[in-house]
Amino acid sequence: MLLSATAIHPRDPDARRRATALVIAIIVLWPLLVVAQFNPAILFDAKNLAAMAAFLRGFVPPEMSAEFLGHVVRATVETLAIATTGITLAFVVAVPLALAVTRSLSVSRIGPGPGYWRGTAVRAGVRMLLTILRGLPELVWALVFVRVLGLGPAAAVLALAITYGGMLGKVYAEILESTDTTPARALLESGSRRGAALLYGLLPNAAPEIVSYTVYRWECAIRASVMMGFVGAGGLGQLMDQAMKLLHGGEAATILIVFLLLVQLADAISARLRKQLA
Amino acid sequence: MSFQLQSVSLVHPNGQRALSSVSLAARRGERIAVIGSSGAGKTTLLRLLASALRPTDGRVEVFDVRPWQLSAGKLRRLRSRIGMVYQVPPLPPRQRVITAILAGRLGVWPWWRSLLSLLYPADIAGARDQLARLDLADRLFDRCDRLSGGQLQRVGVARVLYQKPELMLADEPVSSMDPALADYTINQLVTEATTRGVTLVASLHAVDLALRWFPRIVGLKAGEIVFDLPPVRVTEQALRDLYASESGPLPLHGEEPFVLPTRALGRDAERRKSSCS
Repeated sequence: MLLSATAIHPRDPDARRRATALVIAIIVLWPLLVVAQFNPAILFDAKNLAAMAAFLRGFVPPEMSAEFLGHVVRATVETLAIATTGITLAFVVAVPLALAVTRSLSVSRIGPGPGYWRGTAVRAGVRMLLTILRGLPELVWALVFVRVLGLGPAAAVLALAITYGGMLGKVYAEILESTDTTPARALLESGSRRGAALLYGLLPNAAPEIVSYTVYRWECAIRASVMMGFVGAGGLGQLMDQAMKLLHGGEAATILIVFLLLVQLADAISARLRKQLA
Repeated sequence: MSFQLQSVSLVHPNGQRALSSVSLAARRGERIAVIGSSGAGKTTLLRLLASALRPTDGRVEVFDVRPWQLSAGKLRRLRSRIGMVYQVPPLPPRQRVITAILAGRLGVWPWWRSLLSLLYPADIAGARDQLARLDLADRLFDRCDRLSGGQLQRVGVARVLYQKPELMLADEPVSSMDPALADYTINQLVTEATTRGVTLVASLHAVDLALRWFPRIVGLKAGEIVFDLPPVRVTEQALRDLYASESGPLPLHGEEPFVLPTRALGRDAERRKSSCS
């Protein structure tokens, strides 16, 4: 019975490969969990719970004095300024690199035509440059720039421009390659330049994705600028650093609430923009 | 010469042979219909002429130059003189019709004009005129995803009309249209070709449209040209051989019974051709 059934219906030729991939994933992941000392049970150990509760109790009530709120507002504006300037510079860095690295915008790949090997080499080079830009965490760059430029937001802005430029460039190129590339290809085949093919062929399809990723990165930049504040790059992070050092849990709580509001804000902006572009 | 193919073969990277030793040439202003069953190599032939595919073997000349020996800049300018109407128009769904039509000129516009045109359409009147020829002027500011398949095909035609290429290629340009509209749209392409004296090569699934509008019919089968004749000399037997269907009906666009064109129609087609050159 079974034999005749398999004889009639051809077997899925990819089933074995899927099963192998699953087994390999488990074999690789299990030792990694062990190395990472992942053991959720210790979270619920009575002693640990008590320690956590004591730590969190220090955070209530949030500090709401007018003087402190004034500091928070100033620091929030500074954080937003760092994140926004950083993302803008990162965008300026990312766009030409993404344009260079996107395969579906390569004229020389049609055929292949003249300049094919040069184009391939340029794409490989730019791809490597993108890896280098985003390879070091922004915190490391911030430490470097704080040494050079002194304490203040400028170091954080430069660090964001470099790391996030690399991230945006890579992801932009991947978004552009995963949308329908036939419109751009048709434009290139009728003599259009690379930039025009991007604007008329790829962006109409890819714009919501690109906007959503950029706003998400802006949200990440807000968090990152907070982290960089800990190493002296200004903004909410620096305020948070002082609060933690002085064991002012209430102040830290206020700052954390502001973080949550900022993330909500980024989410709302993203949703709004996506709706407009849909 | 508008184009010249000399024993051109093309094998796709996956090893599939699409064209074998095809030779075909056209003077400026000729109108050629390429017919043949699905998979015969019609699209490949058109893409070779568009300099979008490079032949595995043989020699391609377009406007008396060999595209694949040109520098990148010259190849780009050559391509901007060739227009292609696609069976499935490659238009982004979110793009507006006007932008899709204006994009026909991106190959000749300077970059700043392409950029400014996104802020405010650079040539509303020009785009509207071409769309009006296809009876679709009221959809100028609609988004492409609001259009039906047949309307989208007409936007694709309007883009190429707006491009004003010297070599117009059309790959099954009316496959989603009803018979009357298909006839009307082919008429517009033919009119454009004759008034500007440019070459038109269209692959058509519908034999009746090909025979009605084109003075030269090229039959393609399994990647080879089996005939290259004026419509009056295309016999029903030749068509049955081409589609390898002894009994089944021939692919037609209209619903009326298929009648081979008379000599008078053939001469009419010849006259139309000579009047434009």
